[in-house]
Amino acid sequence: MIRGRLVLVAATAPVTLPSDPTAETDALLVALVASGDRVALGALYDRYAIVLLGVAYRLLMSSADAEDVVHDVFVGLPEAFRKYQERGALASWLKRVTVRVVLSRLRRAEVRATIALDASVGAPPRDHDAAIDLDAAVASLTPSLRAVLVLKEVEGYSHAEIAEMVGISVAASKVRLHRALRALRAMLEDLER
Amino acid sequence: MIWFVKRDRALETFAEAIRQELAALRTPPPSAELRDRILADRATGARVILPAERTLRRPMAPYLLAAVLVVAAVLALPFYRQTKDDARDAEPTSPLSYLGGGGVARAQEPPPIEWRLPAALPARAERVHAGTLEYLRSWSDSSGRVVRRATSVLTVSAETAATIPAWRVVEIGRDSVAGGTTAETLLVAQRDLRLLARAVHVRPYRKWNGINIQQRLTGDSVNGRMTLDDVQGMRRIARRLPPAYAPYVADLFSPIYLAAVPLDRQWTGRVMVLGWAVVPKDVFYPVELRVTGEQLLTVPAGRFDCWTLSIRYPGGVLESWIRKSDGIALRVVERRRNGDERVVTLVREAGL
Repeated sequence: MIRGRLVLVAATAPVTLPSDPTAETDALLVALVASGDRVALGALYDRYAIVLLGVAYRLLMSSADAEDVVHDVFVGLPEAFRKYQERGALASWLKRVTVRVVLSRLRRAEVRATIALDASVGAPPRDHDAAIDLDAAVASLTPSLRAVLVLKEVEGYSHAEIAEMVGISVAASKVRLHRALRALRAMLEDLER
Repeated sequence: MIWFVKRDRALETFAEAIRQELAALRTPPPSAELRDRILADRATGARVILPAERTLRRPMAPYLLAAVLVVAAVLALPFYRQTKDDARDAEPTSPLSYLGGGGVARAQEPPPIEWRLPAALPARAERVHAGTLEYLRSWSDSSGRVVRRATSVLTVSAETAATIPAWRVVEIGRDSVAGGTTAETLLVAQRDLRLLARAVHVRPYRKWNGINIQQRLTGDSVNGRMTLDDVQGMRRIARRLPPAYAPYVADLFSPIYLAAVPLDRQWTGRVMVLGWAVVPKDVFYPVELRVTGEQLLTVPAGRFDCWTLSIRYPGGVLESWIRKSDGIALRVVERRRNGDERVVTLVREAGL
């Protein structure tokens, strides 16, 4: 069914896709991007870049690095979609891919050692001071601790999933989370004084 | 700050408190420049190979543990079986040759009232002499076909055991079908034919290469040990033999024992046959003997005037022919209800 629609839509490109991310439109986008449709890739960026940037940024705590990651993800999507097997939501799959790209970069130690408190990023938080403190504290964590913290507490992955993605054991994932939380708490307490 | 007011709580509570703050961290908005850069790079042929998504590995520990348990169970099975067999075979019972078919026990129980015949005491122990008896055992089915044969050579020689004049009674038995060998040695006091010691070697014994029984009778007790040829360890033998049930006779000695007992047409008596005594049910067997008549019997060793005896043991009844002249057993016949028959016949003798 999707394949039939794909032919028709591809033949009449450029197309305007609805902005609401539904499974049906996601499937259509995937098919189009896999066929090399740049418009569809742009539409996919409009739909999911914000989510993927958030993931990448929280893991890397650097806007530039996060953008590099998202850039690489989207540039690589057409080829990746050709092997994509639809299992669950596309957003989840994209986030996992992004996480893998981030972790791959972290392993290659290509990340610039910066604590990014870019003035340009994001809208003001509810509690600006608190966010600054937490931002600095998370950024000061080692990448290995921060990765587990973000993946578990923000992205909601299980320790088994984290262990698989990071390449560590489940126990190591739990240990890293514990250490990250302890370090974070200690730093926040210091900042409070 | 949310997390700070809860700083005294456990770490899990802290994590819960900061979860929303973490999710609300500022993140860079997707820029149009990045979008254009991506599309431009794609247009120029830029390619990135994204890391392939691997299937989440299932936790291997439970499977490994299960595999280890299965392997351990498989490896332990022979030992388990051996242990089971040990438990079963550690209950060996003495096979009776002359005074019953074996396998039936009266575990140190007082014999029933009707078995309480006068003790067959060896009043004429001096009639026992050194010599050799050779018996043929044969088992035949209900059609009369001999299905198994075994020979036993029983030798009696004089010996002194700890200053006590004794008879050494040795039996070597060979089974033509099973291919097994049985060697049993008794030391019997010459004066009253009291059993002093016994050693039994049976090879093979059930699934084992062999079993060894050593007994020493002292006072009212039998002590000793049992060992299996291919299993380490031993089982102690320590049983009481109530004096009221005496005399205790080894089955092996029974073809000779009645030489010391004066028989007549009305004679009845009983003995206790000593088992291997490894397990409680095999300590002693009450055996009742009754003279039932007289008969001329021809055996390979010759033609002799005999007493016929009925021998009743817990597992059945035997018929025995005892030579009048010296009290030596010439033939023992046991007929089973199914028609099978076991016959022990004296085929050769010397001395006695």
